[in-house]
Amino acid sequence: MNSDPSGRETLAEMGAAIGMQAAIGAIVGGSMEASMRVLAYLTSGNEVDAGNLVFEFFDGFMQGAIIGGVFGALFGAFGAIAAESILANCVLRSAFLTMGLANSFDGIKGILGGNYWGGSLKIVEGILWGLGALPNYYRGGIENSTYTTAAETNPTKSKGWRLGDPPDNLTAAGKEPSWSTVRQRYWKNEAYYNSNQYSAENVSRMQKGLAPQQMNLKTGMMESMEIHHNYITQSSGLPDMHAPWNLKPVWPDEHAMIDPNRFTGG
Amino acid sequence: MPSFEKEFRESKGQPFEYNGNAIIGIDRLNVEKEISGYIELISTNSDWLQGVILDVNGELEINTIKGQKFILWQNHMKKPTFFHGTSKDKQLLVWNAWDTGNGVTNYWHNGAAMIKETDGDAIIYRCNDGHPDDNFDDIVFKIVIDTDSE
Repeated sequence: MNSDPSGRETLAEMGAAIGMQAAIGAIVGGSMEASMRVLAYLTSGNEVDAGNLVFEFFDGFMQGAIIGGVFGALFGAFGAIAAESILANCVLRSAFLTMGLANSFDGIKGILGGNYWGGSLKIVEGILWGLGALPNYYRGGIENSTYTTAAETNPTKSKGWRLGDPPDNLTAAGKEPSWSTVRQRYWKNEAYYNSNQYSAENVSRMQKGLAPQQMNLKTGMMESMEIHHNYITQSSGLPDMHAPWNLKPVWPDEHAMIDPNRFTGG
Repeated sequence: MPSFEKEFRESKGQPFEYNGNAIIGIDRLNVEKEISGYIELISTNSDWLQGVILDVNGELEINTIKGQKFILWQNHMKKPTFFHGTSKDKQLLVWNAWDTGNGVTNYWHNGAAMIKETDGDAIIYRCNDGHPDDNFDDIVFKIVIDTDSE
């Protein structure tokens, strides 16, 4: 997918989407209108004339194509906005659904009134409109993670992680690692690089990706070492928040002293 | 090489005996509500930066800075460092700390332990840092509590 670093669609892609939607709208609208006009002509009871039939077809097609193209372009433009905005996405899908239901009801009404061909075509048109309500056009926010890979958004990070590598390396699939994964990698690295600073029990824990522990001699309870985000807070969600330079191991009391969001209760 | 971490885990932080000495990880000095005194570095012998933590349930003032908990690093303890303040539960908590060079304040784990001695009014602490040994000379310091405040 050709996306800018934020994962949003580019202007070229938006233009292409609008154009494609307009073309599809023109073809579908033209075909529908031409079919209806031809059917209406054939079932009118008048004598069938080949020239009139061709005229009805092309006249209907052109009329349908113009209306379909305009509507298609409008929906395409709205679709491009819907890729950015959840609200626009909801409005667009609701519009498709409403048009689908309205045309379907018209079709049913037509069939019940004896206009079988016209009613059937209206139902088909309603179904086509309704199909437009099915896709999720929104591509930002949370769903962005499945839309644009982290490798595209952060080209400076390597894919995959081996012992000793920065803990915030991307996963093998190119995704941003979860905090749980970063934490495990961090402690494994700590055991790898600084084993002389910990007891054998704690080195063993860290090799499994677990935090070292100690007896809190003030409380008489065991406590685990924590990882503090020095400069970029974890709640910021910024790309480098788990970078090694932003992480510092701290015991809970120190963490509470330097981080207003961390309370030990003691 | 002894690491006292296991012993402290088993004793749930309570003192235990080792080679005829009472080994403590934290000292709870009994003081009056109004407290004053000083702390002085005697010696250090470690490749890691040594420190001492003073902690009260109240407020201490050291060099015009007020707080509940202070860490005094060895390079700021060469002269006697005076403190005064209040302790609601009449206790002054003391334990040693170290920094391996990465800016992390460590204490209570691996080889950390203290032996407490008295010399007149002074309480002397011979301490082990995180190195798993039993020489108790990584930092040696003394604390004197003013008797008129006790």
